[in-house]
Amino acid sequence: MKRKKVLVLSAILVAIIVGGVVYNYVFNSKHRDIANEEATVTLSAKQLYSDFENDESQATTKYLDKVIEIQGKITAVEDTGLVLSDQIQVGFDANQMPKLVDGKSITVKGRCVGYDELLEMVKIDQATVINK
Amino acid sequence: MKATNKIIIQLLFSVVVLLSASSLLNAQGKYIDKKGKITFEASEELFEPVKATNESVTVILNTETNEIASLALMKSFRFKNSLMEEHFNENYIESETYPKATFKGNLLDVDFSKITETNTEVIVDGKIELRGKEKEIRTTLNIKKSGDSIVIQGSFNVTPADFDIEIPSIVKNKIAKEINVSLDFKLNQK
Repeated sequence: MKRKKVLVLSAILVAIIVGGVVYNYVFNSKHRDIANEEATVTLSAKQLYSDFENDESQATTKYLDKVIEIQGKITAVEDTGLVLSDQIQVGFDANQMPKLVDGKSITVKGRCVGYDELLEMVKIDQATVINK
Repeated sequence: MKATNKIIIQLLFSVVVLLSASSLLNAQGKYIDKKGKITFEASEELFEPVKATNESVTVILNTETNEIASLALMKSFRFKNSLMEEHFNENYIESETYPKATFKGNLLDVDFSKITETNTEVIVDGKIELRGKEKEIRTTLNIKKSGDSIVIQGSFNVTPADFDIEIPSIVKNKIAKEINVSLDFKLNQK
């Protein structure tokens, strides 16, 4: 009798925990942490831009939402972003903007969000600067 | 002597006119915002808010022709709930196939030399393209100056059906029929 009670109680407890974990997973699951994800590919700013220029839909399939590392020369520094080689618009999350100067060559890691034909630039967000 | 003087004066005058005309052209022209903000909300009461913001929208305005163009990359819309963001991209917007939304239009009856630091209501008329579908949009925007920048704010409604987006019946009562889109742009001279 006592044994049965313990079993029922522990079953209820397990059900509550599982339910809680599932609920938490579904409704509060964390966003990706781009800074700590491994880059799938490393390439130059020029290469990334020309891939989009040659075949945008193919490049979109290849790079969209992927974490990539890009090497290039800084051609503009803005409030929350920078431009690499006049071709890649790199955005940093709030308070993540590093101190950088024009003309320096750097490597950044970030998520590719696609090609902006108004700016004529490929866009990267949630970037971090890679020190090598 | 008098005749040559007249010619010289005329020449000088036309040079002055030409110079002022070209400086006017330089002073006006293209305004751009690379960090425009667009928020859409389709929340229903009692359910989790369905809301996302894109803070890297590109906007280009030509104050001579009153043409305005804007581009938002779908992957740049950030939700509070990461699973909702995933569903938005994969099931509804299909951002791998349709990675962006664009707007091209005209501001009607606006004289930018008369825009002040207080809001002026301006009608915009144009087309949104999203998921390969076009939708006519006509709405009133508030435009004002802020220092050397031009600030444009406004909102309008669209429906999922406008862009052939099907909402599955299980989530139908959690997503509003009308989606409110609000925009906040601050453009600077290029």
